[in-house]
This record gives sequence, C-alpha cells and structure tokens, in this order.
Amino acid sequence: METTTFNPSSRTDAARRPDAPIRVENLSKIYRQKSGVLHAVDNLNLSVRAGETYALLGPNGAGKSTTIEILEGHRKPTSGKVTVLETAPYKAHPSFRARIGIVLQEATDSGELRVAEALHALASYYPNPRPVDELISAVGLEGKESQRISTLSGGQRRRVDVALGLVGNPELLFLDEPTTGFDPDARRTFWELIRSLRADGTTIVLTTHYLDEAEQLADRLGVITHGQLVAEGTPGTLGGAALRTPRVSWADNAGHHEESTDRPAELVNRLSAGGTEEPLHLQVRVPSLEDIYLELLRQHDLNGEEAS
Amino acid sequence: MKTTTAPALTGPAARGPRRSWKPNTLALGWRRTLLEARMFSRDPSSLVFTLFFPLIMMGLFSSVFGNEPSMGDPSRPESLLRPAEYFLPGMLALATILSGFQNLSGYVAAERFNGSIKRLAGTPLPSLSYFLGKTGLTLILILTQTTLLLLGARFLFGVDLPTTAAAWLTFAWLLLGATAAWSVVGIAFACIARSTQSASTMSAVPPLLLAFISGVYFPFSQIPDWLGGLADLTPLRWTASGFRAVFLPEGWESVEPGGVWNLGLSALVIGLWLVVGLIVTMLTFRWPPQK
Repeated sequence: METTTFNPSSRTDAARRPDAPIRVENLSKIYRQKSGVLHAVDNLNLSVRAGETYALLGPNGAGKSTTIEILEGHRKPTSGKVTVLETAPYKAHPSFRARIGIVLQEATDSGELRVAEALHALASYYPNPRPVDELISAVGLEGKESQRISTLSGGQRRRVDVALGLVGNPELLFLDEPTTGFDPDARRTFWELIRSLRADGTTIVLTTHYLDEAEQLADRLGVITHGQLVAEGTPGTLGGAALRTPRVSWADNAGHHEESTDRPAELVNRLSAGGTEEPLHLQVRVPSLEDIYLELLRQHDLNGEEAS
Repeated sequence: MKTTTAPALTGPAARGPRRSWKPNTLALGWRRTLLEARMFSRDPSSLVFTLFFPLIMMGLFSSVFGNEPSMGDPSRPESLLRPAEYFLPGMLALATILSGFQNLSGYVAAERFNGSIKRLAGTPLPSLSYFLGKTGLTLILILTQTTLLLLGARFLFGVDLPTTAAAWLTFAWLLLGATAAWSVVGIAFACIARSTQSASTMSAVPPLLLAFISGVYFPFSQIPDWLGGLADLTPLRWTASGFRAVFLPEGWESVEPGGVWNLGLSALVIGLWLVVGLIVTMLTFRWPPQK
C-alpha cells in the first residue's frame, strides 16, 4: 500500500536552498486574558522546504492552530520573524492569498449553495483557479455537483472544504485536521489526493491527530507542546534512536514484565531458555510513531514540571 | 494492492503570473451581491420574517380593520384614513429596520461564527468586496420591499401616492439614510455578539420592540410618554414620522408631538446613528474574526 518514497539526498539539497516557503524564527504569540497571560506560541523556530509535506503534531491547545493561523496571515505574531512565500503574511497583499490555500478545521458555511456553485464562487476570487469539474472529481464528489452543501454527509462536507482550499491552485496548502470525520476508505482516497499534490510540487503543511496519517503523508514531522517545537524529524527518525529501542514484554508468576533492549532476540532466547520454554504473553514490539509521540510528550511534561 | 485511483490535478505549470495581479474590488462586489441574493432567496425564514414581513403585516392590518376610513379623529369624519393609508408609512419604516438591522445582524453574526468570513479572508477577496455584496443585498431587499408595499398599497388597497417630486425626494433620503444607519448598527451588533445563537435571537428583538413603541403598529400619540421618549432616541420613530409627512394628508401633523413633522430631527437622529454605527463597526469588525 505504501507509495510515499523519500529520497534523503534531495532532502539535503532542499535544506540548503534559501527559498524555503516557510521560515519562522523566534515566533511568540501571547494572549492577555482575564485569567492571566497565555503563551500560545513560545519562541518557536520552524522551516518548511519547497515541495515538502510537513506535519505539525501536538495535543489540543498546544499552539498548532495558532501557529498555522499566523502562517496563513490570520493572526498577528506578538514577536519573532515569520516569512511565508517571501512575504510577511499578516495583512499581506491579496496576491499572497492567491498563492496559498487553506482548508479550515471546521466550517458550516455556504449551506444554501450547491457544491459547484460554492466552488465557482470561490474560484472567481483567484487569478488562476483550478477547473471546478476537475476538482470535484479529484475529491470524489462526482454526481453531487448540484446538491446543496447543507444536505451532504459530514465526510462529503469535509471534501467540499478540501476542494474549496484547492480551488485557487495554491503553491502552499494548509490543512488543519483535514480527515476528521472521514471513513477509512475516504481517508485513503484523500491521502492519494495529497500525494498527487505533493508530486506536483505543492508545499503542504498539515495538522493531524492521526499518527498513521502523519506517517503516511509527511516528509517531516514537528511536535508542538506548550507552544514550543519539542521534536522534529522524518517519520523514521523522530525522537531519536533511544525512543526506538524495541520492547520485550512477557508474564510469569511474579507478574507482567517489560524491558527495553537493543538485543531483543538475545533476551527472548534467555527468557525461553534457548527456545525450550514458552514465556507467557511474549511480545517483541518496535515502538510505533504513536508510542514515540506519546513518549516525547510525556518526557517534555516531566521536564516542564522539574523546571518549574 | 492500491484500490483507489490517484486523482489527477493540474500542477504548478498551470500557475500563471502572480506578482502584478490585483483583485477587482468592484467586480467582485457585484459577484458577491448576486451570490448573497441567491443565498438569501434560499432561506425561507429570511423570506418570511425579513423580506415579506411588512407586506404580510399590511395585509393583516387591512384584514383586521377593514378598508373603510376608520383611523383618526371620529369627530372630523372628513379627515379619517383607511387602515392601508394609515399603516403604509409605518410598514415602509419597518422595512428599513428589517432590511438593514435584522438582515445584517443575523447574517454577519452567523458568518462570523460558521467559518464563512474566515474562509473568505483566506482568499484574495478584498473585505470591501464582501461589504459591497452586503450593501448590494440590502439595497435589493429594501427596494423590493418598498416596491411591493407601494404597488400593493396603490393597486390592492387603492391608496393615493404622493405626486410631487419633493415628497419622493424626502422619501428617498429617509429610506436610504435609515436603511444605511440600521445596516451599520446591525453589523456592529453582529461584531459584539458572543455566539450565533444569541445574535440570531437578539437580532429579532429590537425590530419587534421598537416597532411597538415607534408608532409603526399604533398611532405614536397613543404611546405612553416614557416609551415614546425611548423611541425618540432611535431612528425607527423618526423614519416612521418622516414617512407620515410624505404619505399622510395635510393636517395630520397635528397628531405628532409639537404638532409638526420635524424632518430636521429625523435627519439628525438617523445621521447620528449612521455615524456611531459606522465607527463601532470599523472598530469591532475583524477580517477574519479573532477568538
């Protein structure tokens, strides 16, 4: 099933290129509320290379959406330097907006419009829009063109959102939790769509709570918590070797055991007395991306408590 | 084992020149107007409670009170007016608050919270085009309501309409001024609202209450002083009295406070609300909305 291949040498080249579509240096966003000062984004550094798909991960309230909204130009940074397509995005010229596409996290607008009407309407605001019929088939809404958006199912409505984000033919696409509410089949179709955009050279920034989605789509992942980027890497390297140590678990009369080891075969050999005994509930697991992600968050929270 | 077909999309090659490009604010404003009108026409509750409401009320009043001269001072039968004649100015004034305030406060609040404005703000559409679209829809609504009311009054109820250019000129500036004032107040109201639900419920309250105390449903002289004093502070009362000056026969000004029409005060109150509403709107409207 896996189709995303990843070429390390082109990545290194991309890192040297100065034209990274997104560059964020020391970004902070502070909200002053009645309950006190909230550091939604706290001294964040980030760079996304041309043509790559970058996934921002993090728990709710970690600062993902605020960061994305600053990159989209919807929010003003409190401090720091943000450059998106060589532009400071906040209150940028409409020609900047013509080059980016945004898929909103949740929207219930335009319910009175038919699918094709909503797409044609939005397309008319852009200089080089995508053909609407092409877009409708790309998101799998053929036959729904003349249906009112308010009568669509949740998943279909979400596909309209994706199509609306793509209608301007963007160089840079922001996807905020794009597949929430999709059934498994729809998610896979959506992933194919994102891969075809990536193959066309579109730079993509996405947030998601699905680690398998991030693993499938992203060239690189960044983990945000408490407004800070605490880890960054490819799906194969995030968290470093230490977090990827295989775990062997088993049970005996004394209870359940788990051990991390770089030499799981040796441990299993010892536990099974050279293969002559069968330990109860024996498992050898390589940590999944989700395990690594959760461990990263746990470690960061521990550090935060020690520091304070 | 891939079961899904990879969708084909035009790539960056199709992306044309971009640096010099600028959106056409006026043309997009016109497109927004057509789209706004289409969306409005598909919302049954708006059609009934905003667009056709004054016409429905006019029909109700005429059904309840009949079409005989019964409004006014019974001791001077020659001055009595038929209900359709008497209520026409009030219904026209009601149209200004419905097209301006109720329409905009409801829709702008909904669009702030349902992602509409956020989506538009993510596109190259200028915010001015959005407002031009709102202005266009509001003009369509008020002109439709006015035309329907005037035609209905003239041809269904046989009301004589003014024949002087001066009367129609007064009518025009009152109509547009009051609608504009209610429009900016409606948008300001939508910007201050905390949620869609509260906004859509609350936006129905001012027209309902003000219509009762501003001499729209009852003669203004029958309103208790303290309520009338409250109404004196709002544009609806002054729009209604201004329209009575245009549509009612001479002599009826004796029923008004002070026995005069007082169009100057109408202009002053409507103008004040227009300016204050505009300032509050400019201070509170965010493109896109901020949490």
